Amino acid sequence: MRLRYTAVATLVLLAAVGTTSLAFGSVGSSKTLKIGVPVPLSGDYASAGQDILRGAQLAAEKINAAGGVAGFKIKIMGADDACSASFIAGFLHGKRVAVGNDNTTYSKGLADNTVAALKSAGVDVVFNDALTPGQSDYTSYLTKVGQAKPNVFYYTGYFAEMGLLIKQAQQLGLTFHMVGGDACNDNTLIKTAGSAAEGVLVTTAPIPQFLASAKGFLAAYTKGYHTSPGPYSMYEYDGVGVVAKVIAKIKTTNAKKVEKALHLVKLYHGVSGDFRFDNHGDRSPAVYIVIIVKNGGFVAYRQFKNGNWVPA
Amino acid sequence: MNAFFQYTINGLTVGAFLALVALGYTMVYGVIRLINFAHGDVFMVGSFIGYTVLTAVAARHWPVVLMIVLALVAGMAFTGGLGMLMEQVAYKPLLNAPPLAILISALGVSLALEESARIKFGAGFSAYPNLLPTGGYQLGTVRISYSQIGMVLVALMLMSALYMFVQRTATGTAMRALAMDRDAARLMGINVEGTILLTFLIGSMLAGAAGVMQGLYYTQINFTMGFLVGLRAFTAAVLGGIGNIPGAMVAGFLIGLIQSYAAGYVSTQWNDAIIFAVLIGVLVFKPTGIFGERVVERV
Repeated sequence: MRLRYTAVATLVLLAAVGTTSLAFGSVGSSKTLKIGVPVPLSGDYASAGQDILRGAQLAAEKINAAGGVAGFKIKIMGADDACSASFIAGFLHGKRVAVGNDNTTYSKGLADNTVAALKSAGVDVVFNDALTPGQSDYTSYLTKVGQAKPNVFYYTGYFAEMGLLIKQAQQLGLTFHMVGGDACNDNTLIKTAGSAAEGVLVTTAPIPQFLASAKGFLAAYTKGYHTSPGPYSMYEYDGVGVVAKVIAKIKTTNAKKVEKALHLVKLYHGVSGDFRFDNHGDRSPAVYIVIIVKNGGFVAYRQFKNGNWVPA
Repeated sequence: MNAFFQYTINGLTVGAFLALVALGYTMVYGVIRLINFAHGDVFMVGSFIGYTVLTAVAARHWPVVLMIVLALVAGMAFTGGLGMLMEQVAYKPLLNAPPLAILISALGVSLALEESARIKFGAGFSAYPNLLPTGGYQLGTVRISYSQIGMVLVALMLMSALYMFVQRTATGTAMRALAMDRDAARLMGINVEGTILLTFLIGSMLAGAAGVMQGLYYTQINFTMGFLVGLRAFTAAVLGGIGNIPGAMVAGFLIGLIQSYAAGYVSTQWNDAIIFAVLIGVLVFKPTGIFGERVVERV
């Protein structure tokens, strides 16, 4: 009796696996499905943002371990990739760049994409290796980085390790530019690294406090709601703004007509910057800025406008 | 080649911290045959005590040396007291119970300390004020920072003091006698309970000092920091011969060096794998450690 149940169960399982494979193609495919997770990694919501990001990473790891989704492996992306490479290559004139990550899905993904973008920009990536997060001494890791003689070191992991890396790089007398990804945007980094943090750069999606174009918005929001705006409100503000503008222009609220008109918007001057919509309906360009540590705090440094990194 | 010297300097610095913590493990094992799993957390508590003291006085602009000494003294005093309390409450009542009981008690103390730190200081990172000088000596391509020299010197001072105490004083000799044979020591008139208490006091004070030094040197501390350091220090204690005090000192530096070379020549990801492979190797081929366990042979 039990044998029969087992046999039936096995057959059902095989059938399920079989049909799934047929339906979705080979499970062993190495195609990647990129999922963007634009989360606040700065300001009041930093811990929430990291929390969200880790949740996404964990889900991705679990799904990938079980074979992925519809034949794709999931890759979690912060909105950081090409922008960091463009900044490092273009603005910092990074000739020899070292890239570090902390071996987690997000960090490694970001590092890999940045390395690819750097290489296609003709930059020499002299070092690309992971460190183990959660430790306190990275002096040997940094010595290895120093051996490769980079002029820029880009780290895609979290602020905790970045703070230690910055401090220890100073102890070791290493002088290359230190640049961090989204996840380094946290004041703990400055507290840990102390004076060594001056001049450290971080590429990040901005909060209104960092954007010149959002000054009015910031003031109105703070006045009206008695709290600082988070990272999403300004996009929503612009979203409503551009739709309203388009409706006023075409004088109809017909959804299809409005959608068509939105695609035709050449450039909208929003509080989150100038933008239009691309073929997929995504905001283009993604808003990205570089912040710098100055006098013990993060301030806006450069933003990407019209193909150049201009003062923010 | 010059990377080798840099890795060596880095390794010796890390090793200084490990040696201080390893001493606590080895001494406690020596006198009561307990692997005090809570010892790494005593290190962590010392670090937070130093943090509390320093953030309280940071605004007063006292001389840096005074503030550091204050933090060290406060850290060591608190952890010394904590160690004695642990012994009295969690270990002494179980000395004659099955060995598993005292081990579980130690784990319980460890959890209690970690959770208390988490509740009091939060789950995130706390940062020490940046007090140590940032410069260093540059010898060719090798750099030795002033803070590295300072850390190693303080560690060596503490270790020498301990060594002198254990080798040259009557109480120290009592500790060594106790480690050899508890009953014989009692018969010789040694105050066993008092000596055990003293062992915990000294071991915990050293861990507390290491904790404050860790905070001063690395700046960033967190309630879970005791775990990894404890594990590595314990490895050092076993490597040096558990119960063997000079052994723990040397092995602490050795593990620090191994960690540094592993990170440099292999990868930081392999650090712990290599350290624990060494531990396994030692336990399999020479379980008494490289310097041998201090146990008397019963003839």
